[in-house]
Amino acid sequence: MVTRTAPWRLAALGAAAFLSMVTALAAGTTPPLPLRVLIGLLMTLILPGFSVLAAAAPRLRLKVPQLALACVAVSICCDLLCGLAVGGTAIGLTATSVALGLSMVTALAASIAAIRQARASADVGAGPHLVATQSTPSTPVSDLYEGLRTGWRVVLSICTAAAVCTIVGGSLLLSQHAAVAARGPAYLALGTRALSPPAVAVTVTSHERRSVAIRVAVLDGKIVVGTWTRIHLRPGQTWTARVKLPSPATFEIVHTSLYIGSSTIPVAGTAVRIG
Amino acid sequence: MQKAEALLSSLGDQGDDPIAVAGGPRGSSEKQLVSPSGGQLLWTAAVCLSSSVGLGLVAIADAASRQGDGKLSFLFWLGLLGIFVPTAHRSLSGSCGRSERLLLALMLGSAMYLVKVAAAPTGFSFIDEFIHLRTLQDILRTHHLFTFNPLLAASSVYPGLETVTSAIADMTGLSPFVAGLLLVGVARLVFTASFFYVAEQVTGSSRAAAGATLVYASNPMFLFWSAYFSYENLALPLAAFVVWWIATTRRQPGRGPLLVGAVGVVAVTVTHHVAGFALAAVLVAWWVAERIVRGTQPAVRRLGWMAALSLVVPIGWMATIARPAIAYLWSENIYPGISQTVALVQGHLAARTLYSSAGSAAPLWERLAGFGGVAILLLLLPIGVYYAWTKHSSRPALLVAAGVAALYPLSLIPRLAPDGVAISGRSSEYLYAGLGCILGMVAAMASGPAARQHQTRWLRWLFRLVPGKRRSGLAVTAVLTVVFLGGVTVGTPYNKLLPEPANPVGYPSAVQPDVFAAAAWARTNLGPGRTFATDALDAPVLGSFGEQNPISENLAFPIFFSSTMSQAVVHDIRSAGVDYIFVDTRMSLGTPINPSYYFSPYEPGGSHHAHPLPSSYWAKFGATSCTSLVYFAGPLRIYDVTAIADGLCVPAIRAG
Repeated sequence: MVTRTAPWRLAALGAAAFLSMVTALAAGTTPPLPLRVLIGLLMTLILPGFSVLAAAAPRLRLKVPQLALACVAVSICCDLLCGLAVGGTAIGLTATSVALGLSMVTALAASIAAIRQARASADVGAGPHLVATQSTPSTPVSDLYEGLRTGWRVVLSICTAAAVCTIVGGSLLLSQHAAVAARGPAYLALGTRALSPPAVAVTVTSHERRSVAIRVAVLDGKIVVGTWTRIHLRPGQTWTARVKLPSPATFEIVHTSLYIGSSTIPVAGTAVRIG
Repeated sequence: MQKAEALLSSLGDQGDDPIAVAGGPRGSSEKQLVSPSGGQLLWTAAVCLSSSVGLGLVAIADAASRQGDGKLSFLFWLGLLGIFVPTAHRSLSGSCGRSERLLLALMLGSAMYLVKVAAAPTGFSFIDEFIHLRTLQDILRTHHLFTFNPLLAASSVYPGLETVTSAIADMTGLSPFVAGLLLVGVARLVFTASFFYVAEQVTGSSRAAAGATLVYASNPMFLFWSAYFSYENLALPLAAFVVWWIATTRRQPGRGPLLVGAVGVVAVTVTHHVAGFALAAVLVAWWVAERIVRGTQPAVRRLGWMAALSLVVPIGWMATIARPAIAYLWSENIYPGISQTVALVQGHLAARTLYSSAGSAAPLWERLAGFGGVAILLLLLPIGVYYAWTKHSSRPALLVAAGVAALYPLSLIPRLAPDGVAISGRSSEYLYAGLGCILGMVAAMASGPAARQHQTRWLRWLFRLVPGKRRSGLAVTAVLTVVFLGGVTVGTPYNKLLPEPANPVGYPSAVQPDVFAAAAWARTNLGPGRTFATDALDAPVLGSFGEQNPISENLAFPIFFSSTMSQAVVHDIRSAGVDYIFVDTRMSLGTPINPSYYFSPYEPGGSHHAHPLPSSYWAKFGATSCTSLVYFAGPLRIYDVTAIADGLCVPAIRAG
């Protein structure tokens, strides 16, 4: 039986690959909210599943409602596995890493799907371009549609190019992301100093722009006093916290620590004698 | 057997589309899929309008309840009827096409989801939602998974829901609440469509599938519980999808479809413990049934591979990553439920009074609907199982559905034990899948003309009791409506159906707005991660919105249940490492209704508090110089007890 790929499926594959490439290139930027919502929903709930289905089961012909169901469900699975891959490793689950991961999955799957569709068409000797043309009046829209019907090689090229760009670019960016995460928390504590009345001043600077919660805790075996704050540090910006100690202070050695998320950062000069 | 197949095929009339057990469409309904007739569109539009009006009535009832006006609560029920009755009647009608039935099923599922959204449109407000919100916040804050969740350790080791929500929130810029609402809504659609398709393949009829969807929508958990931002409500739709996907693609060549199925199995496993094991149980049972009936065909072997995978992956995940879930499932849920049920059966334990909480009972009609609905299900179940049994040699999947449905009566027993309610209630989400397929078939038969020509004499006699051709649809709709209303009353306490007004008289049964404000204050001024002791109602809000670490409810109540700072209280504060005590003085205004305890079911007085707690229980925290009052707003207080916990200050010990 000759299986042909509907032109709209080929066009959708090309569009998925192209959009994933755009998403990967725009990862880390903040586009206007409506555009971000539209692309975000497409990239999380529809396109990964569509591409993966087309790559994994190219001969499967589902009706539109069934295809929609499968696209959404498989997209959710892709989100989950992608999230596990970045969130369970040093890379971390951020907007950038998720966008890159999903883009890579979508572009790669779209590329595989296009290759498999092309092979299947070559095998049966009847690609989409051989579908009989209806004798309808020529309009710009119909010309474009006919172009898509006859242009599966163009779609294949787009998909492959998008996959290569996304995967190479995404891999580089993700590895950079992982390298930054692996070299430890991106904050450098400059030091602490004792104050009178009993208190500790902690100064922190960042070499990466990031919004986080920072905890400054004064330790004496266990947390004696601490303070939390949410800050947005720009590269090179300095942040200072002043932590009051209970009075009268009954301890001599105070350890100060910074906590970013679940990580603990040792602070330079943690031993402070309270006078 | 040919007669039986012919009868099954004749269940649907002109619009029906019989489907082979695991193959594609046998009949052709493409025409209806592509171009529904004007009459069908009119019906669909009418049902859509009715559902919209129903939703509007529910929203009015919710708004009135928030204002403290309980007189309009009847609008809630009227709204639910407006959603359910027209959908049920139309989708079981012989003139309804397959695609229209699917559309109606999707409309019913989404309308019932919106009932929950209308109850809490501005933020998460149910206990389980706070638990998963905490995990989500941890992921958004730390960018990593598996951070310990003090509200429920199992939540952080099954992070599927929160991971996907986090991905959507990160990619779209939407708030975690909107992203979660969107994801659970999409999951509801995925579940409804998957279940419809699975039921259609199991029963061979789209009319029976519509009946199955209606019965499933009547399960006690469907209206509210299954709509919460909770991990099971993503896992179950994915599990339903995996079953449908395997059923649809197992005859396809190549490994690609198997790979997609495997990805689905992993996704279910990572999202929810019970759903993962339930999927494995269904696939293994299905494989065994297919193996017996069909032998070793390639499609059966593929099913076997998927069944094996679905068994290995959840066990592996639980053994390596999700170890905290073992204690949660066994020690906190399964064992207490089973042991109490056994004690109940042996006569060592008195049965729980149904429809009663803290001395107040549900209205009589709600109780009647609940018992009536269960009675109808128990009555129709043997008919459906018998009918499925006569078809078992050709439809193994139907046999599996009958086996699942047959467990339903057993699942009712734990409901009579105090600790068995959770097992009984939550099992309905799984058992109703089988029950829906079996009773959906019965509903389709009873509402169609084929029943009157059934080859089994007693079934033929039974179905002829149903009034004539046109009225039979109405009768079936009426029966399903009773089952639906009964399910709603069984699944949700009568005083939890509508939102509670702000500042109610007595002890509230829902979190009050001032608690959110206090939690936000604690996060900003005390910093996240401080150890709190507080009551069961407010702890999830402190843990999620406040990002604090509430101690276990069983460790909290001994700190409160004493009028003086006794040695035991000081010891409990120190051993639990409590930094702050969060006091909601409304505990002295009334007794708790739902849940029927302040802190823990094991607290003095348990679930039968006759009087409110005395204010001396928290006055003691202000009577010592070792504590300091750091927050005071209306009925809420936060005491800093770090000096006691650190041993820096020892309060004057008095006899407890």
